[in-house]
Amino acid sequence: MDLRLLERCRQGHLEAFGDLVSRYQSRIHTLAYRMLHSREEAEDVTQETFLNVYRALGTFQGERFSPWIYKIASNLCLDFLRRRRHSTVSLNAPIGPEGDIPREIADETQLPEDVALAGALGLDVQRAIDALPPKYRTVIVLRHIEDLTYEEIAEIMVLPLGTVKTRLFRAREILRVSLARSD
Amino acid sequence: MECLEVYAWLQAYLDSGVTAEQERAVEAHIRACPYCRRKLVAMARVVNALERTSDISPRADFTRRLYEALEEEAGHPLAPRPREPRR
Ligand SMILES: [Zn+2]
Repeated sequence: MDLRLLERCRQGHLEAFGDLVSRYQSRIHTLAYRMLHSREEAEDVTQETFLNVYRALGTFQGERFSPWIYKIASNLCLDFLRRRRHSTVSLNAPIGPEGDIPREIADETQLPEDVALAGALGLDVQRAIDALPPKYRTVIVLRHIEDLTYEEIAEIMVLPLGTVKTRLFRAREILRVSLARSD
Repeated sequence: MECLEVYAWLQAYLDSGVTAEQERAVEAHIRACPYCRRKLVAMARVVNALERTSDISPRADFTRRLYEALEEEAGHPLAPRPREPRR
């Protein structure tokens, strides 16, 4: 289905690209929001993902569209997280001894978007995700928010299956401990 | 069976990623071991909390802004434009 759309995009049927956007924009935006906990950045990542897909339409050789777009999007999220880590002036710069605590956590005031989204995923859970190191965050979001299999995650992250499992198991262990503490 | 031995199966159990034989071993272990039972329940609670969530749509004019960026990239209009996501 996606591949047929992709083929039509290549032939210049641009409404087909619109279909790809309709099918994937919420999923990609959700991935980015959960990884970055920022509406602004999630929209930037989503837009940049589709621009990258559009630019690479002619050269895409893969067999399946979904892992490809997830790979682009999750790498962009990791770039954003890396940039935050290295920037000391940004308002969004992470803090904490490991530099992996998003500033929003330390901020006592709740962002309006947090209030609106609290029903969708408890703020305590989102904050526990925020505190995960990026490599664990990616695998937990792909597995349990995007509902992908070990195999799909291995393809997206270009990792051996065993590493995906190890990271996922470790990530769940960290979440279990940090959520038990916040009870 | 030791807790450490069963640990990876316990984790895979959450993803329905164990064989029938492993499943029986996990279930026998958690019946006998309150420590692993508590751990499994707590981990399942985390997984449920994550999986209960629904997609978060971008804001209302996102698709329009995306298409403006795509048109700038393409150097020509890309009509017709896709639907804004349902909210
Ligand atoms: Zn045990």
